Amino acid sequence: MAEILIISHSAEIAEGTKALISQMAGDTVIHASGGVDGGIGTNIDQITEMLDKVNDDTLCFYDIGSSRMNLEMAVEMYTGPHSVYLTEAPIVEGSFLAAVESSIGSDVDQIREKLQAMKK
Amino acid sequence: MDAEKLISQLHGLKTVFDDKERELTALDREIGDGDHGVNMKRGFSAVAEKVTDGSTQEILKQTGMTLMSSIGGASGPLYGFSFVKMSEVAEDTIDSNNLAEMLDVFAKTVGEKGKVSGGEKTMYDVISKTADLLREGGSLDLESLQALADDTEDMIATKGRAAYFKENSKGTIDPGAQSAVYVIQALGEGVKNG
Repeated sequence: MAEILIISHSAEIAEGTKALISQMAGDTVIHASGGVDGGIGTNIDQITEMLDKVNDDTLCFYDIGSSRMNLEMAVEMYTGPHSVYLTEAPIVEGSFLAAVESSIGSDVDQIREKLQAMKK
Repeated sequence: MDAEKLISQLHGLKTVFDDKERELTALDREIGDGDHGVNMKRGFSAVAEKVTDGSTQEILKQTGMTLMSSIGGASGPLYGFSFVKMSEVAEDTIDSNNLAEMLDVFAKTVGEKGKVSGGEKTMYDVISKTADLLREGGSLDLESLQALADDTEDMIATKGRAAYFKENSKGTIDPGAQSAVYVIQALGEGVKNG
């Protein structure tokens, strides 16, 4: 089942988004991380750590600025067995849609197609 | 430049950025968030501490990984990822030709990941011209590198934090362009002195 990865500059955005989508898609595995050293920021290590834990193909959502760059680099360096995709959809709405779709059995390709419609 | 020389040049950057912290901070206070000096210092202090041996390829990769996790903002990932990518083309002994190849990769990585193509007042404006500088001039002296950074002074920033300052970003050298001068000078010096 497709998994969701969320990277934000803020711990609260990451956790809040995870809580929001878990309410609707309880079975979908969601990896979320935000903030650096208790403050605002993203770091490649926290993304790599999440990627090490994925157990299936994964769709990644990011917020502003360097979160995309860090995510791109972490994904490029990922050597695990699963397919990992960046998505262009907004972090809250996009991850919500993807998690619900995953919970009702859509695969990564089907979800990516749906996300295309809500590009940032 | 063999592995031992490469390590000594990279460790030397700790001293360079200790000295230049205030200069970079002053530039970044003008057109950024004022943390570039302390970031570069923190990054290369971590490199001096953590990267201590290995082949040229391993040293460059470890340097990149260390910079990526120890420098915040966009410059850490950009410098860090570039070192990781340069490690993929580095030979056991880096000569002038090989360094030029590495600098091509450096420019390509910063261009792709930073989404810049030149003239946006960023580190790319220095990095992207250094491979040609080395191929044409045979070496990378501080004066020629500094001239590239000086060219960013009159540019208007359209990428990164400085872009918020629009016209007002004119008149200040880009802090990332300035730090790129020191990083590339260290690599050039290593090749020149064996």
